[in-house]
Amino acid sequence: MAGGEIRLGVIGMGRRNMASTLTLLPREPGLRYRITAACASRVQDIEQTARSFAVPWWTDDYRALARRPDVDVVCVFSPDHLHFEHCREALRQGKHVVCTKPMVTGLADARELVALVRSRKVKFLVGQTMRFDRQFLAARKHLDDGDLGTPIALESHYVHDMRPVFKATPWRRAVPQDLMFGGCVHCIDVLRALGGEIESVHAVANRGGLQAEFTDNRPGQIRVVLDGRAGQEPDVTSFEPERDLSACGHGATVIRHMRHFQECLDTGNEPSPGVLDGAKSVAVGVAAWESIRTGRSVQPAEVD
Amino acid sequence: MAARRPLRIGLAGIAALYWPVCIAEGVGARRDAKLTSYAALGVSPSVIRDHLGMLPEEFARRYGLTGYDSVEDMLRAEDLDAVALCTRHTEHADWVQRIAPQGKNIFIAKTFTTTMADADRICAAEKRHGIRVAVGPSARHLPWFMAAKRCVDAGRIGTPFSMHVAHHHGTIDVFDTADFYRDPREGGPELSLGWYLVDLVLHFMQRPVTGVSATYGTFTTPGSPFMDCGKMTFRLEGGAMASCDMYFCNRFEFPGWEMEIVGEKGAILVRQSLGDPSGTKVTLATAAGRRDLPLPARGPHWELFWIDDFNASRAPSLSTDHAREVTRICLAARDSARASARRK
Repeated sequence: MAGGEIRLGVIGMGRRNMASTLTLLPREPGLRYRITAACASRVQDIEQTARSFAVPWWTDDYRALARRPDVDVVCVFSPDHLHFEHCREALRQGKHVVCTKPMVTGLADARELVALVRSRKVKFLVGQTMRFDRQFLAARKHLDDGDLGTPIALESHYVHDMRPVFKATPWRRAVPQDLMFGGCVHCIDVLRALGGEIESVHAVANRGGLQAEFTDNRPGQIRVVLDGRAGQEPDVTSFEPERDLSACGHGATVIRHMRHFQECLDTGNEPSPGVLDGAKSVAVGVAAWESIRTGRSVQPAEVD
Repeated sequence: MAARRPLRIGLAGIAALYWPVCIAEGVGARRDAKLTSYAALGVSPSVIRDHLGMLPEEFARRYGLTGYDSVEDMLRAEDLDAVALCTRHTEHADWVQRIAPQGKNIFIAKTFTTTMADADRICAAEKRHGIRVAVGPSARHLPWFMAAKRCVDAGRIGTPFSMHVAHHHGTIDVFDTADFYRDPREGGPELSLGWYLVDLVLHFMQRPVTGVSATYGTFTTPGSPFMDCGKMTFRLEGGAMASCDMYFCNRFEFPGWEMEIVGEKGAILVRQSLGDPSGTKVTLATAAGRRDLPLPARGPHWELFWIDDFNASRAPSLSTDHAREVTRICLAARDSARASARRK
């Protein structure tokens, strides 16, 4: 694999889910990825999907995929509650892993994956791709350049109209996502990426007030504004929304994310966010649920 | 019909950094009110200078006021309609109890009180003596929040169920080291900045707060006895939620106010801008799209709105019962931050 082709086996391959963005990779200059195997639970669907993406081998048995010698990296895009067993199987087979968020939804599972990655000496990248969105990269640069000084407060919002997502991934209705890990984990990861480790969590939650559409869903301009500096005009970085052919519109971000992973495979550096990042985000989510239940501040559990 | 005379106001207490000058300047620009006098309340000229930035004589000369030592002397000599209290926060209830029997309306410059017992004393004195007590200022009278409230009241976003508001302020360094504001017994930013935010939550959400969680930290003012960055989260009746950020730590120009309020039919986003040439924006987002709302041309002066209320002989737009509730919530937030636990 060093310097050569990086062969991907994709668990949870669908024509319209996030896994489909991986099919953009072989066309990207400098990337050496090729999808050699695909897996999904419904065999008829996976055959059709694999053929449409020219993937040469497909299965409905994730263990068979993980065993294949022509797979270097297992990419897990299955429903959230299956991430653990799919990642564990891949790691047991000595494969590198890319796992879409959330890494897992429980502390014990998170700890086991951390231990497995270390013992197998493989690379593990968590698909918290927002770190690789241009607006967060721009914010990161402002922080790294010292434009804000030492950050003392961070705020992260995530608002998502999920209806199109439910259509593309109907499992979310059959096995409803845990909101903390399915949604809030985006904010948790961004806060961790920009602000550092989270020492305590205080959370409240609400259920189901939103009934009607209120977003116009039209693409808008994205702006990163560095404001408030004494005597200086605001520094505004504007982006037009990235357009690509991927089903979820995240293709360009996924390409940056996977370019980072390729660099880690080539250099031996640890991916970021890695398995420990994923585990720590899970610990924050678990602490948040406990805080919601108890009304107390909760320290995230150790996962290292 | 004879024109109504301007509301005659006297200041009780001038040993304060902001309010005496704010009221003197603000009233001086109005025709419907006149600041006639002040009572120093036994505070020495040197202490007044430390707080006010000038000696009482200079203050009197600059604004054309008659100075008295005691509030009783001022009330006897001046034909006042209202007294504006600019004393230590811990003394507000005592002064209300002394002034209320004279039948004068009273404005209390926030912080309202630092204890619930004091709040109860003020509410009781107001009712017993049939006067009106106003508390302020209130950010609800700022044009961008007025525009947002008008939109909420018109039902454009449906029933609000979530709200976030942030207020960016300077630092405690504006207060002289001898200023009473630095005395933790006077409540600090937990009550003085919390006042604005909790008032806005109650104003916009129109539901009682049933639970409070708060986290406070001190970052840019290590010598401060107070937090300089605070986050409060509220559970409201019916399951609605609100959160507030208060920054008492900014040493740079920064938008003073931000808010988002979400209902089942839409959302309103407010961003006050000081430096961005695009200006302050109040944006309504609904199924029909996004549009910026016009700001009202004028409304009540956000710091002197109580003059309108007193002149119109109507109940103040911020009542003492409301101020009591705001204080209760701010105190619960402080308690929550200390205990790292939610408070009712």
